[in-house]
Amino acid sequence: MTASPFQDALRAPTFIRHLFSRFPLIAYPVDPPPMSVEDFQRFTTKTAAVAEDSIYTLYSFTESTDSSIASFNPACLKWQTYLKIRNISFKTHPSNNHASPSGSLPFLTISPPSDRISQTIPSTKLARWIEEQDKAVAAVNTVDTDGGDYRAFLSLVEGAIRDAWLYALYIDPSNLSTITIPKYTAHTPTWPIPHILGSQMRQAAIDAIRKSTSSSTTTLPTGTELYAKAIEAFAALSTLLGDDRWFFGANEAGLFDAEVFAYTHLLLRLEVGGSAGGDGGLVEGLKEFGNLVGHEERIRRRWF
Amino acid sequence: MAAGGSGDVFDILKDASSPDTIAAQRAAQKAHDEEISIKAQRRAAETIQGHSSQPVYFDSITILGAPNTRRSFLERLVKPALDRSDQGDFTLKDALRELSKAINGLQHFEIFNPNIPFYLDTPSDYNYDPRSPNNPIPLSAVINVKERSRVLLKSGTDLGNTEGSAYIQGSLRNVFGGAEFLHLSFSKGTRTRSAYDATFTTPINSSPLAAIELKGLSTARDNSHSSHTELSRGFIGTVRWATPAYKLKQSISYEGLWRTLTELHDDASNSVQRDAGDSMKSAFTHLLTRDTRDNPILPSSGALLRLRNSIAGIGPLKGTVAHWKSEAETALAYPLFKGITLSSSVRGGILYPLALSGDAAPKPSTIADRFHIGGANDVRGFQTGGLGPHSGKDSLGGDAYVAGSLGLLFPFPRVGTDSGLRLQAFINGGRLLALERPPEVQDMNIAQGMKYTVSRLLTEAPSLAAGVGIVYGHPVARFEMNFCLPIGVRGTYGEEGAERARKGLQFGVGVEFS
Repeated sequence: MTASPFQDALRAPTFIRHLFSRFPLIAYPVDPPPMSVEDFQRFTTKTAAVAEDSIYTLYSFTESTDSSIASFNPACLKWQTYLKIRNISFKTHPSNNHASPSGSLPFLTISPPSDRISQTIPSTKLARWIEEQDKAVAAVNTVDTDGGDYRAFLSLVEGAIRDAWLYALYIDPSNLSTITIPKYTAHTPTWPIPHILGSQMRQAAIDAIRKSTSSSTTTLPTGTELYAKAIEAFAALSTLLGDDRWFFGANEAGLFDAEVFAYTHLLLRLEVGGSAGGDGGLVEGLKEFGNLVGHEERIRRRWF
Repeated sequence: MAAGGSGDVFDILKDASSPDTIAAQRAAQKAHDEEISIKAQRRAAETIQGHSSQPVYFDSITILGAPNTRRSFLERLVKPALDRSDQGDFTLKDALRELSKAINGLQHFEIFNPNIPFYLDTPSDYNYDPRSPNNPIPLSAVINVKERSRVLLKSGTDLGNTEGSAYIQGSLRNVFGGAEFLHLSFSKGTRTRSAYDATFTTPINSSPLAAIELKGLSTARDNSHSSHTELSRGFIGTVRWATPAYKLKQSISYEGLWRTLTELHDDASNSVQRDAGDSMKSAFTHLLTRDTRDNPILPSSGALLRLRNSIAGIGPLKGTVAHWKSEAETALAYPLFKGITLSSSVRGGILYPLALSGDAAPKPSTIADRFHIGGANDVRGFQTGGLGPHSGKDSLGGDAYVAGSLGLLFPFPRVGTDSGLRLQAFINGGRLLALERPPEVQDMNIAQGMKYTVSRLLTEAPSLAAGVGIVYGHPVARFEMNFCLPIGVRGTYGEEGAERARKGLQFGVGVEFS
């Protein structure tokens, strides 16, 4: 490598470099890092906690470090499910969006036991990372994720169903106060933090629905409208699934199955009430589609 | 000048309106006035001296020029003087001392112009009776104050520890007529990216020595040394009091702070990722300071003792972090000879995890609560947060530390000791450790762990650095430029977990150096 004259000028004179290379005179061994919550539990309680030896940790909205406890957030649950489908052994770690380099959960960290440095993989790069893990592949789901059909159905999940979910969980006041706020602010239950974070989350959901439905800044679609669209989407998904075990007639579950499961599981299991519960609500609407309920149960029984 | 003798005088007369001449005339006039006033003062002093044992009593004390100040507030200020006079056995000397105390009090509140003249007279209906000279003479005192403007707006730049900042401030003086202050400020700095605060201060019972301060704040602080930004918003309420004779200041404060560690760097370590997000600190803090140093920015004699203890999260305090945090600091400056000063400091602290109300066992400390030491005005020769446990480039902080320094300050050649310039040579170091479990013990508690950690702290060699440099002690802040070399460091450069030393030049600005 040839140094430019500029770099040459910036280089310290030889005697300085020579002097610096002699210091520090003494190098002591490195000190241990502060203890984590898990270290601490082992430290204070005499029984050693059952240590999951996985080097992979999925930071997500969850209450547990056990990867078979489902996350209460669809985006996290989708990747949690897909990692399980692909037979990658991992543990989960309760976290929040501030921890993520991309600004949103989930993300995966890899901490080899030999090394104190860990590597971080954001959710946007998770699919590709999983493909690169040769030992992790359980069975190949050969659905063409670039096909027009796939994209059309994916947009149903990420559009109509997500909007209805956001409305039900973040805008409906009863679900916001009984499910969303307690779950997302479990680590900071002190007044007024849950209250402030709750209204911030609600505003973010309103903005997301507006963006997704391209509605004006003054009007927002009503819950009934959004739920009706989501039920239409479920009907289309139900027709697509038909009597197959997995979507698109695949032999094994894939990313799309994880995607659908993330919503169906939470809608069916989270005891969503308010405007989304009861007759004519989102949850009852979903229950009409027996094959989607069966699909949820198949994944739940096998991986959770 | 070529021409001499009378020509000069003529020139001067002709040129009587030249600025130089006017200035000279003014100076002469001023000197003359000053001489007269000094003479008058001397005469007054002589008169008072001659009659200092004359029995007197206060017939009245009048404060003029304070239309916006509450009467009850002023009454409490002059009450000690009146009470003392009512007790009897009160001489002119006592009267003057009591008055000057009251005036000192008035000056302290910073609501009046600092120059406060007063006048002593006898009431107009009083007739001196020469036959009984030992009868107490009634005095009416008039204190003439001038209220300062109530609204104050200013903007400027500020130098704090390891950072420079620009600010806009608005103050409302004497809000309710009792020397209350309302202070609003917004600042933006190199490390504190933005800070908003609103502070309301009021003296307790008109005392210049005790005050209550209520503060609401919202700050964003760039903790690059730990790969994140820390947002804090909340409330701090403080009661402070002082004992002037012992130079002792104390305060008890409550803080309720909602903190968010956010905007993590892409390469933030796992430890930082785990602690990211929201936490609530609800704590009581006691602070005791005894400072006898002649100049805190560049001390040449005196000592500082500071003890700080806070309790967070236990019992009714709630919040999400619970600990006892205790810190002690001493600093000593000792003049040697020829303007050379020896300065030294020792400090240390522990962070003891406690169980939150409702929790069975304590939780480990988080990066926001742990100690971070090292930096240009802390332990020189190390980067900010350069000592103690690290991961990657992140300072993870520790639960116990000691740090100390020993230095010599020399007068700058050909400048002398009056200027703030000095040359210095120093050696400083410290040790910062995370709470650790003794290696051979299996089942143990936190007290044992803390004992083990502190014993390591005290028995093992500290990380050290030494250097020489230039110091400039400006009344606002202290500037240092040092050439440092690390002597003993934990880990080698580039090794995972290594401390981060700094070789070569290091520049420091701040109000507090150790």
